[in-house]
Amino acid sequence: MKFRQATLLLSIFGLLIILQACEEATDWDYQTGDNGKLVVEAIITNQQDRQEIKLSRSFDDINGLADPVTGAIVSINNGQINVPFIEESNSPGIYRIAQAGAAQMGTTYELVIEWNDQRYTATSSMVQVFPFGNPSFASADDSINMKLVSTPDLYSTIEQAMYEIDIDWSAISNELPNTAKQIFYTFKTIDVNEVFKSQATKVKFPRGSRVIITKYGLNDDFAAYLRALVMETEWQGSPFDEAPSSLPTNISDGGLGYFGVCAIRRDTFLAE
Amino acid sequence: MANKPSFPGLVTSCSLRKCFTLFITLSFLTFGPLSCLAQSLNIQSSSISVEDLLQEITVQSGMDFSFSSKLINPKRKISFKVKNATLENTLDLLSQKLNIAFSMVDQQIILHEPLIVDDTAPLSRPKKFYTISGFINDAQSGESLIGATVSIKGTAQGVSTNSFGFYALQLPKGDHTLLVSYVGFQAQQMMISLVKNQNQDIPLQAASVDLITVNIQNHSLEYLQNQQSGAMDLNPDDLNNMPEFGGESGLIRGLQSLPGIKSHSDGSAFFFVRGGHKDQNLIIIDDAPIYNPSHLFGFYSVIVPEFTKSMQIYKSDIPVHLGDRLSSIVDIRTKDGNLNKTEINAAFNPLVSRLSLEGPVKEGKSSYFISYRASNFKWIYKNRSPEANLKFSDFNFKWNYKINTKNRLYFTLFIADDQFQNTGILNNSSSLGWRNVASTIRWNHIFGERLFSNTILYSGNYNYRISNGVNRWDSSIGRASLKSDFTYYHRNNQTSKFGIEFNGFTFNPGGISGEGFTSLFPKIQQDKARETVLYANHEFKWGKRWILNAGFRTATWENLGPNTYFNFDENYELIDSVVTEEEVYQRYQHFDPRLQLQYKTSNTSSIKLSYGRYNQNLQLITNSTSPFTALEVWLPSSPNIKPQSAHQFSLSYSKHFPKKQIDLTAEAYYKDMNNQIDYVDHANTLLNPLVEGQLRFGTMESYGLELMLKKKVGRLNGWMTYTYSRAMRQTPDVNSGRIYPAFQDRPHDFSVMLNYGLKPRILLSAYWTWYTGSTFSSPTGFYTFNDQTVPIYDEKHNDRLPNYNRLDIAFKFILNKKATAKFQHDLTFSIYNVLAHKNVIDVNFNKIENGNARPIVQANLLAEDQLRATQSDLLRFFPSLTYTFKL
Repeated sequence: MKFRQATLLLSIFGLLIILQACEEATDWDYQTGDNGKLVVEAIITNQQDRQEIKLSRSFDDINGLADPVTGAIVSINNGQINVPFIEESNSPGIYRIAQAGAAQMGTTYELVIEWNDQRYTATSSMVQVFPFGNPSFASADDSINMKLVSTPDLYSTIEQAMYEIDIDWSAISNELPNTAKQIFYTFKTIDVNEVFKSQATKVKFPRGSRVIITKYGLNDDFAAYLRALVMETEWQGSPFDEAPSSLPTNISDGGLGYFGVCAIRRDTFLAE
Repeated sequence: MANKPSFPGLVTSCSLRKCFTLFITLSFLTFGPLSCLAQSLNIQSSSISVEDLLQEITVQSGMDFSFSSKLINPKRKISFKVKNATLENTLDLLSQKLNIAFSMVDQQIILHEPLIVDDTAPLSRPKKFYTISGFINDAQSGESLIGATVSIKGTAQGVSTNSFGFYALQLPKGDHTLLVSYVGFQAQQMMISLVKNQNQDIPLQAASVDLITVNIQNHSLEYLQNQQSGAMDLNPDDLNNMPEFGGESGLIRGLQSLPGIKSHSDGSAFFFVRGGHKDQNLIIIDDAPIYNPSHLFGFYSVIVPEFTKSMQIYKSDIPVHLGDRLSSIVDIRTKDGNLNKTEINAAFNPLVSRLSLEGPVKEGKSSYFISYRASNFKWIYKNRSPEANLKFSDFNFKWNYKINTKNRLYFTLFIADDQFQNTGILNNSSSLGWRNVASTIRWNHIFGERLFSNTILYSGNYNYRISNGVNRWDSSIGRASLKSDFTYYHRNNQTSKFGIEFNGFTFNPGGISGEGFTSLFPKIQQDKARETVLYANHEFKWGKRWILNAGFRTATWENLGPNTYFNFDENYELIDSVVTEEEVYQRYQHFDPRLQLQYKTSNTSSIKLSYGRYNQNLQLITNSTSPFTALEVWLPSSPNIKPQSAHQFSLSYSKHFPKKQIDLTAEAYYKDMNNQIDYVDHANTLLNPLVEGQLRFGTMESYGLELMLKKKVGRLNGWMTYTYSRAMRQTPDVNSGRIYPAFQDRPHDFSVMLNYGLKPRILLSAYWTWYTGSTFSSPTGFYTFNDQTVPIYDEKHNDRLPNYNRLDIAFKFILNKKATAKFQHDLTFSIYNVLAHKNVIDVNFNKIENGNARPIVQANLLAEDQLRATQSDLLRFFPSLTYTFKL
């Protein structure tokens, strides 16, 4: 991973802890906005699967529950064929296609949602996704557990990608939690608050855990959305923050979230 | 030798309370009755000492006296009775009683022997005029004194020395008595017989003061003469007396204590002036620019107080010879070095130590000043982060040489360096650092007797870098300039200033260099530009009350090829790139008029109205809300970035209260700024060759009222300020085009700085500041995506941080018993934020509390931890101890 070296440029500041010495939780008096808006969480892939779209509503409280959007009419078309998504009866807010299907390269897909007498649309198309190397694991500090030591490149001139790392040790232990999920990104940009990003918890898991890595190829618009998302979540919170603002979206008419169409690659590993 | 009655005396804490009351009262009376010209004096005493009589006249009239003790015995007792008399009648009686003559120079009454030469009638033009000119110096060190006043007994004629201590007066042939004064120095009176143009350097003796440095002299004469609308002095002694952070005085904290100047937050070197953005302030040291005045991200200032002779801050009415920034210029003049003897100054504390040495190269002709300051933080973090290494250092050097009475050379070198290293990652050393290097070569020449020229070749370079082994991210801005500045003293009521300046600039807005892979990073275009500036200003004193200053500054800015720049469409999408040859590919010209009209409403007060237009071609590109230096880069005006511009109107009122030696300043302003840089949401400003496409341009409007009460003299002295101000922005593509308050929009700002001589050798200083919290964007809702909680922001800067509140105190113990001791040393104990108030610098909404109740980002998206709002503050209760000596 030649770009790995580059990331060293960006992670030199353990010493910045000195500057973060006085951070504490506070009861902030939130201003409330016009919430209850439609939120679309839709990533359609090139894998044969019962593609899934999640619809929910925005909420006021930082730890609030996202109410599912039920009763919406959801479909995707490629200009010729319209594919309806049916709401799962036992999973409110989850809409799936009836049979397994896959998106194709070179096609622009339109998402149409009708809900509460409002029609929301979004379009997206797929870009190529490149193979990824095998991850490597090492003993965590406590030497009982493992940790992921080879994280994806932060920066690439060739591709933009999202890596979803699902870790499952339910076959080893029934004690909860026995699953974990991490997401990493490769972007064509480098940002100041990425350089000075806030400290995060270390994800540890037992030796022998099953690690599923799914890599999503991102077009420029979806990458811009996810870059903004990570700027507002994982990268925020150091003394070097960028000015916060709402995420962009490709959902029309005041909808939130994003509709993406991605080529993916997936592989499973054992943490050894 | 002139003497002055010591009527100011010592002020009690009761007087201080009165000051507070006065401050509030005068805030409302500022624009009330303007004049107290129609004074009527009442004194009924059959036996009163001259000293007491003069004091009584001063109290009743507001006029100070200056006289020689050889001429008048202050203890002499006389009978004196006036009832409802005018000041003139009272002085007539006084002159009869004492057999003396009097004259009035500005707000001062000068008592002197009856003059043989009648030069009290300036309107009757004598046949022959000559010029007396020269430098006013500190007799001990030879340092030139900036802003000292030179006046002629028996006339209303007087001038102030310029930035190099030079004065020039045109007088009729004959005998005259020169009166020379400067705060902190003994006023001097000298007879001259003017039969030809004459060069006359005048040394002033420092006033004998207590061990504690408090000014004891009346400074009325200087007050109105040097009072400039929108300009403020920050005396290095004031800085030295301010409670310190980590053992060091801070320029930025000193500035922050002045009205209309707002610091970003704790630990920050950024500041905002009258609503302007942080890049709209220019700090110059002997004319050379400093682009980053901070050490340790902003905790310390790069300005070493020992090296500083004077500091002038212009918030409006920026002189035509200084530019180009929209909001302020901080003009720092450095010490020349002692011409007569060698001196050593040093200060030691656990965090920072400094040493300076000054002395003659050739006694009376040439001198040097050299200082070095270095940090010592290792002991703080060596156990916790042994691989880290934080350090900063300063090196300052000044040399000057008096070639003859008409020529003098100066050389200044300023280097400030920050280096933060981490050697712990894969045994590969990484570091972050920045460096300011500024240098000036100056030639002062006097053509004839009345044309003072100041020719300067100067440079200012700033480099900001991150490195990992041989690979590094580098950004820089460099400037080389040649400037010729002239001041012509036509008559004593007219002065012209004019000049020309050629500037060359280089820009590296942050590119990566090094081995192999680094070539894959985007290539960041470097840039060059040049600027030609012409300026002129004429000051005309009309009668005794009116002063008009009219001038202009015109500049031609040119971007130079070869270069490649990009064109964007109306949606900021890239259209094409343009490759330029070795030519000028963009030119901006502007003409900035300046106008100031001053009216002296009385001998102790004046009102000023001013207008100025300003332009700026350098912009700091950063979308960071950080109080610290955070990979900002400088960009020039270009085809995509039009110069920033501003119009500013201000109206000020100044009043000096002679009895208490208190100055009141009230100033209202309105500023309209255009081409103000804003940023698209989640702008990418780092390593982005298309960064200009991330910028948005809007307007800003700011207005406010600033009040300041200052007492420079007495056992209890200091100042207090209140500012009401607003700063509102509007950018078509930001915040849906709606107006929003700028980060620096803090309506209320209050601060008090007090020094009190507890005992002859113990000084207590306290500084308290309170201001409205800064604006920021807080979420008004949330949604989930990819198992993450995403904030929603309805409006930009919809919320405010908690109000800022800080009290600092310091005790300074003078260890030597005699003020005249050769070895002088003191110990200062100070506490920053003694109330341990949590002054919040940011609030976040993306963290959980881990087992140690320490907020942290949750990397496992399936964890069910509750998110918390978290707030950060930097400095609670930070004590320090500093030992200083002077030999």
